[in-house]
Amino acid sequence: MLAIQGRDGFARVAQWQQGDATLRLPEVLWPRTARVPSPSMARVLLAEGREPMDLPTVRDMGSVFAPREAGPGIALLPPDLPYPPLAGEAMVRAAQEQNASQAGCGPGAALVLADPAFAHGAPMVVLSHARARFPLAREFASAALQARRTAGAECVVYAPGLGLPHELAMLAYCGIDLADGVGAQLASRRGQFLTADGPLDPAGFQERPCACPACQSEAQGLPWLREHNAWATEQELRRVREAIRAQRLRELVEARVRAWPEGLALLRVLDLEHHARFAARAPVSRKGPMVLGSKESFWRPEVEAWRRRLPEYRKPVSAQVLLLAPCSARKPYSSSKTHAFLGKALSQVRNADAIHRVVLTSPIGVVPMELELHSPAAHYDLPVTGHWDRDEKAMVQEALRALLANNTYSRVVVHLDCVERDLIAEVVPDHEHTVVDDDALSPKSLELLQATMRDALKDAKPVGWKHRQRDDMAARARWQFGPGAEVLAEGTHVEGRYPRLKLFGKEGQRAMLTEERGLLSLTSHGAKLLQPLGRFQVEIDDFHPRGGILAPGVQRASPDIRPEDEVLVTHNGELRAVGKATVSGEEMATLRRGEVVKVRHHG
Amino acid sequence: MADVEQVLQPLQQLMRDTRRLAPREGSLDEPTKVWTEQERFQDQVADALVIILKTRGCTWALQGGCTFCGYVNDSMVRKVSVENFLAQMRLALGQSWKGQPVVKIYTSGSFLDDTEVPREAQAGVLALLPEGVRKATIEAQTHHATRDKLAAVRGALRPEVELEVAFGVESAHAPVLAWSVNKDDRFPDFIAACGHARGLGIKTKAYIMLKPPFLTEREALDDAVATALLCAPHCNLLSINPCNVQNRTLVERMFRRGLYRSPWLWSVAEALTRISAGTHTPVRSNPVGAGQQRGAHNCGTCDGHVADAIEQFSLSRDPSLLPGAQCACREEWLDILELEGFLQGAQP
Ligand code: SF4
Ligand SMILES: [Zn+2]
Ligand SMILES: [Zn+2]
Repeated sequence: MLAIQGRDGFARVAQWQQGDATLRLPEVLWPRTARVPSPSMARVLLAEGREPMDLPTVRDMGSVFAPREAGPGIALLPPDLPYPPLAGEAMVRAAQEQNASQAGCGPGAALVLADPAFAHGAPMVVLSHARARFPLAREFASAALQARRTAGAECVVYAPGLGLPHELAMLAYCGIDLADGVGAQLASRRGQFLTADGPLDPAGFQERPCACPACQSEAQGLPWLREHNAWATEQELRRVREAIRAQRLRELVEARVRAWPEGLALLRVLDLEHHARFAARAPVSRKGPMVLGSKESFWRPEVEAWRRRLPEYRKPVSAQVLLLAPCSARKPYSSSKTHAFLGKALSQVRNADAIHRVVLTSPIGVVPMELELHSPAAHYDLPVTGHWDRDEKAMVQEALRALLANNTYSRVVVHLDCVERDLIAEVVPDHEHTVVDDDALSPKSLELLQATMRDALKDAKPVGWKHRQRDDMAARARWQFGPGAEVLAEGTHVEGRYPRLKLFGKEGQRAMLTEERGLLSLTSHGAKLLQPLGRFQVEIDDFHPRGGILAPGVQRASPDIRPEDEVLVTHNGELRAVGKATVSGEEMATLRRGEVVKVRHHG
Repeated sequence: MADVEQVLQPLQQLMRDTRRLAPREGSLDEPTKVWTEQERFQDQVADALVIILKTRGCTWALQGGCTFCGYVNDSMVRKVSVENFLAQMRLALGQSWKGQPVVKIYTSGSFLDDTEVPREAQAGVLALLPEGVRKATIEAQTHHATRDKLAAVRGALRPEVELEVAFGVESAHAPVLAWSVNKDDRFPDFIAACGHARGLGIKTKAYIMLKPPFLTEREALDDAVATALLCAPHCNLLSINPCNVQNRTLVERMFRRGLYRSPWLWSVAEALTRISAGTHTPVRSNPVGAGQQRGAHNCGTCDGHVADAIEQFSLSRDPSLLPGAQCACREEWLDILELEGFLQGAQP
């Protein structure tokens, strides 16, 4: 039984109850053999044979060539036919059939899988040859994600032979719950001193670069390395778990791959070839900043998803003149000094509500101001240097092209400095530039902006601010719920002070913009209007939810639901509630325990 | 899953694909290779002439065959006639026989397979051995060693010449034979063949594979020791063959991808120690390519020393010559014996 306490993408922190034992996940199994002692902080053992152990134990029963009997254990690894995945499909199939037939060898038997396409409700899926596959980034990425999918949310995925400290963050990121200390014990024997940045040769140490109990003790040689390497593993494991709880695992992974080319290659493959699966797991709102501190962050799922969705974006209908504005370190943009100045200058221009202010920014591309509260626009944080490298430039240009290809403006005004302006010139040659002397906030620049805008707006249709507010709401609805969701703003008026805006129809309130989530929260009225779109729906058994919806009550969930998404809870076409998803649609489908929707309104 | 008495077709197919066999150019009247080595004969070290005859190739290998075996790379993959065999034999003896008491006649296959070596040639080749030869050794697959055929080859030799037949047993355990080695003999074939041989006064030798693919170091070591002890009552000599990486084999494919490591020399020494403690049947080993990545090897420092000790033991049969703990890598090997199984297929 698995009680999940925190999630970040595929990673989860959980209590795993097997028999009398409760394990924390992610966890590292420590081997214990006649010659190799388990380290002092071990909580779960990996062992063979019948001898009872003082700690929960995963038992290895050998292979078909030398099956071994197993004593008590929380999970059994049945005797397998260890054909490597590289031996060819037919061989792997043959092994697979053999191994699947072994899965029934006892309670708690795990499945040892070369190609994890089989899994018949085993408590654990074992990614065979995990260590051999790891350097083959493509192969490993597919196998790990396949294992995660096959396993479903309730089953634990174990990657034998992996689990060195620097690998742990990446393993969790790939959805692997269990690793082991076999690699660490072999490293100790080979004289390696493990750290979260990789192994070191301790021969040249002037000082032990660690303050673990072993390093502070008098221990020398093998006993010292065995203990230190285990402490290094334990320490990183704790960091990983905490990073998952704080939804900052991606940041940790990016830090770990920096000095680890194999890991970097794997992260690239995950980002480029498995984007959709990661994006489906990425929460749509978050607390705290999202630090985009490295090149790898540009492809992190949330960021890449934003860029990929831009062609679907439609501007507020009444906005007619495009103003490309600079980004600000402070988020949301409207709380920054830069945008306060811009806003003030523009407010002195007549018909300013016909202006569409869009922020040009690396690496998410473009952020229309009405979406500034949306994640990741509201959270990303990266060092602003004014230097754009080739990738960033291409990214922003592509985003701009997507915006302009699907939205028509009468004029394009660019209030950006020279570097950014050059990059825009390649996409929109006939724009008007309003920054003088590279200082966007100088009185001269602001005056030029006002003058240019007055001219640009003289032929524009007059727009009332109420009207524009409603159009902004329509654009937000579409971005959040997809094409067709503009219907939410039809025949409405907006009340309240930004950002606490409420959307009212004749029948009553339909939705509210919430600053913390950056999303529209629906009322039942609003939800009914969106229901025909068939998206973000959780189909439940025939009951009337009150507080929260538990996993067993869910029949189906749209695969487009990401954690934190606003969802419609339905039964047989009848709207039963509105709420917030706590897990992705994919996970809802396989989870058997825990709350999956927090209900806000019930019907 | 196919049962252990059957050939696992995907494995057989994989071996066929790996071999990429085609008929080979070259004279059929010259042997593949001829050399002289030392071996133990009648409690003394004696010279032995080794003749590798060119044949069509091991029938089993031509269908796929054993996962470690690259012998068929030397084979002609076309018909070799009785006359060709006799010509090869005459040439080899004429050029290289300098009175060596022992002559080993190998075929990179099975000497008693009529498809590979016609019956007439089986007898004819042996009949060519000159006076002065006191022992002849041939190799055969156990299921080819029927009473008839053994009687025929025995009959082709002068009575005073000792005949030894070596059998590639590899393992006594069906799962290893079926799913690792891909052999078409099973252990009962070996027992039967040894029975026939004994009745005809023919000596027998068992080749035992140390570390065929997919087995961990410890599984391989245990399997070789157990196999040797099961063979011991039936044969006259045990030979431990550490698996080496031969071209165009499954083992080589795995080796190239980092999925196979030849056994440690420590495992060879350990196997010899355990076997000689468990049986009076003599045991020996001549690791091919010892100390190299493709052969049995240790850390790179102690390899020469350990390989020498194994060779000395094989000639002298004195277990005290086997090496004890003289290198730190022995500790690593001992750890690996216990830890490798946990890796579920990956290399330690
Ligand atoms: S080991 Fe013997 S039987 Fe097997 S393929 Fe080689 S020659 Fe043939
Ligand atoms: Zn330490
Ligand atoms: Zn050594």
